[in-house]
Amino acid sequence: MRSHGLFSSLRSLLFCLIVGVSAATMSSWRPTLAQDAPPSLQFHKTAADMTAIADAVNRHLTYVPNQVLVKFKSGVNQSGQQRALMALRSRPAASDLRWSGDVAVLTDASQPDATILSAQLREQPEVQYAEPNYLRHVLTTPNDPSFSSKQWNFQALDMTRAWDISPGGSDSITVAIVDSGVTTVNASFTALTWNGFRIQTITVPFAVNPDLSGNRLVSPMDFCCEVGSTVLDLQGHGTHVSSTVGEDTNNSLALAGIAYRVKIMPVKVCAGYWDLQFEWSAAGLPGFFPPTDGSCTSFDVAQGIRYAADNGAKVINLSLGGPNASTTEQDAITYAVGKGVFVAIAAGNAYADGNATQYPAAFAKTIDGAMAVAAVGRSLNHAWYSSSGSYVEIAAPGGDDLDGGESGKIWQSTILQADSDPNFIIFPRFDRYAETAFEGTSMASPHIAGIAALLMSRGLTNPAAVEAVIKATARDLGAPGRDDLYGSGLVQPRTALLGFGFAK
Amino acid sequence: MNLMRRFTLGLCLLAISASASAAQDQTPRPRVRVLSDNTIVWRPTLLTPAIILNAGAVLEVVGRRGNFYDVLAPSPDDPGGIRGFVAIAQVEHVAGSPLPPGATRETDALAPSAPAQPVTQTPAAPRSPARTSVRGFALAGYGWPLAHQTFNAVFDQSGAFWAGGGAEVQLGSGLFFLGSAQHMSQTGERVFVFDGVVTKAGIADSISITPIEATVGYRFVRSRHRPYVGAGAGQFRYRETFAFADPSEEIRTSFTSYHAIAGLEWRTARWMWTAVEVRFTHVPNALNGNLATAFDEHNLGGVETRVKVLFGK
Repeated sequence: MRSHGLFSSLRSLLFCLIVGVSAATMSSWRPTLAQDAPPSLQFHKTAADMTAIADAVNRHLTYVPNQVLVKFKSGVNQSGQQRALMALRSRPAASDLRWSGDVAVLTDASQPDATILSAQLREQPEVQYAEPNYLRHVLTTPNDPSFSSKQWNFQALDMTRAWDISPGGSDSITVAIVDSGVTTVNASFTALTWNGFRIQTITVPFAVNPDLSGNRLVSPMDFCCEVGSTVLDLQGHGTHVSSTVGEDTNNSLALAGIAYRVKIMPVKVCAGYWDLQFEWSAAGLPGFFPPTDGSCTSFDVAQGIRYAADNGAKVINLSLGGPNASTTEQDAITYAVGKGVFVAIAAGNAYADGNATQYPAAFAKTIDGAMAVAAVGRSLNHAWYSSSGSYVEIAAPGGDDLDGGESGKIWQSTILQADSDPNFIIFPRFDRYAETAFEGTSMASPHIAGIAALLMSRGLTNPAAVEAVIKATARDLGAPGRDDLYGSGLVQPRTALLGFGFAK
Repeated sequence: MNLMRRFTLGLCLLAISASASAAQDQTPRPRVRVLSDNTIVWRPTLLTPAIILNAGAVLEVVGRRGNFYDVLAPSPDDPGGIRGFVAIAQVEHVAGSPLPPGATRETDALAPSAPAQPVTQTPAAPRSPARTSVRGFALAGYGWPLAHQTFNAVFDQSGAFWAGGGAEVQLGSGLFFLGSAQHMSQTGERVFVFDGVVTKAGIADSISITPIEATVGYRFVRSRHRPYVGAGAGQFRYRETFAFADPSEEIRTSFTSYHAIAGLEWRTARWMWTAVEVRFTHVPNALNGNLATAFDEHNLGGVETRVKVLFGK
């Protein structure tokens, strides 16, 4: 674990050098930006919110310390809700609850332990359930950019012949990337950040991925950070995931994506490091935000899922997870599948770290139309990190650096990581893109989401049917039949798209 | 001495023979009366008439062969009568004479144990001689497969037209041996199936099936209309291909089949017969893909009705 002081000093000293070098040597692409006066990034979190999140990061908590999600029983009116809330020491007002559907988020600064808060609420007869607002993490390990164009993963899946059958899918299908965002505007924004000595206003440029046509981005929404319909990816994870699902293909630029004709719905529910840093400074808090790869609350995840389902998405990708079960998330996934949406969920990267059951992936086992996705490496063997368990349903390439080094990871275009690496950068930019290697079940899940989008483009609209076809046509790996490492086996997009013939 | 012994033995034998002959002459023979005019008394070969008699003629019965009496018929050319065979059904017992051979009561003579050949036909031998014939045929049919949901899903119909042909060897006993081949081909669309709901995958799928079969059967002789049944085994040669398939993905295989047939044929011209036939085939474990699993249909057989046109005697 790095010390905060060393972290700050290192960034200050290397800032100028790194920016100059990266600008000169990185093979990246940047679209032309608008030259209007940059607007400011607008955040909704308070200083208390940011402090709570920073506290969670520092203490390695798996939930926001003073927040709980509560669902009241059907028919309980506001006075009933208020009666339940009176059981808490702070006696919060029911009118102060923040709602998403029938779930409310309650912030109670007087009780920093959300597990106690939720336990107190569960005792009340008006409450159906109450749980901490769990923190999810994107399930990948970002790495320095490289420029290999070899996508072994698509070759392993015989994608070129799959595209003969369904070339990129249909633009009538929308895939929601519920993640750290996919930038939807070419614009610069001003933001407050810590420059090592004081809070300073800086201009931060953003750009749409030049290898993901802007007209393919639909109904963006940010639930976690700069709340609104402008989505900015300050991390690169969501963009990488979206590139696997549907990066522009056959355009002589960068890499390919699976469903390269479908619409992409950027739904931002995960805050990257720079989201947190900017919010931290905007809240007037001095210093750097603790090092983190970002986080997402189960409340925001659930909101994002419901939003995607309500706004035309046919497939949702969830490359995120954590060790705690959230009924709020489970309800949201069930809601989405009930509306005809297929949900691909990363199985988790905890195999070498105790292999705790991961959520929301573990919910997929009981929901026909949602699939938990494990990862394989270049040799199509179980990736060292990929969580296993009875909830794993299918496997897809997720990369494995122990199986081919950097070239054994999943390469897609995303924002240039060197431009915003918090280990070296204090004034980041997010307007340049590069082919980048990530690994994780985060990378495996969008393979399934993309293939589901191709299947739905062929008219298979029932998410449970999509799951059944993917399972039935998978190539068995590992122990014969279904197993905990690979589920039904390695997804076979061409075989799935071929459907069933008369005898075979 | 030796010569003497032989002479004595010869005399004895002659005496025995003469006494036996006298005794035989003294026993009255059974007699029968011809029932209708133009009744034919056949020569022993049963190929040519010996004499043609009118109703009322009385014949002496000296024996019986099958459905025929061995008789002595009166002849204007031969006072001793003419020997021949007359169908039992064409005569009646003359009361007062002994019963003919094989008859135990008065009525038995009028009810032969097996139906006699009509007098107008060329008489069959008391045991029909085996006559072998060979016929070729063409057929067309329509089949309803056991895997009707699978057919419906891919081809939007649960039946198929068949065409083919073959040849048969028929024995006089009614047994026949038949070899046939037929063919069916259909083009439909590959599908997705979930919970019984079929979704088209938009990919053309073509199959062809060529059963090659051998059948053993029995044909019942009933004048002009001849019912028949049979059963046998064969091979269903199966081929399937689809759009986007590479050669290694084409399916070329064969399955063992079992079948039973029942039909009725009738003569429509001197050398031509027409038959309608129902055929049931059983082709177990032929379908094992995802579609077969989804519908739990694994048998490629079914029921087929077909029309056959046969050429030959």
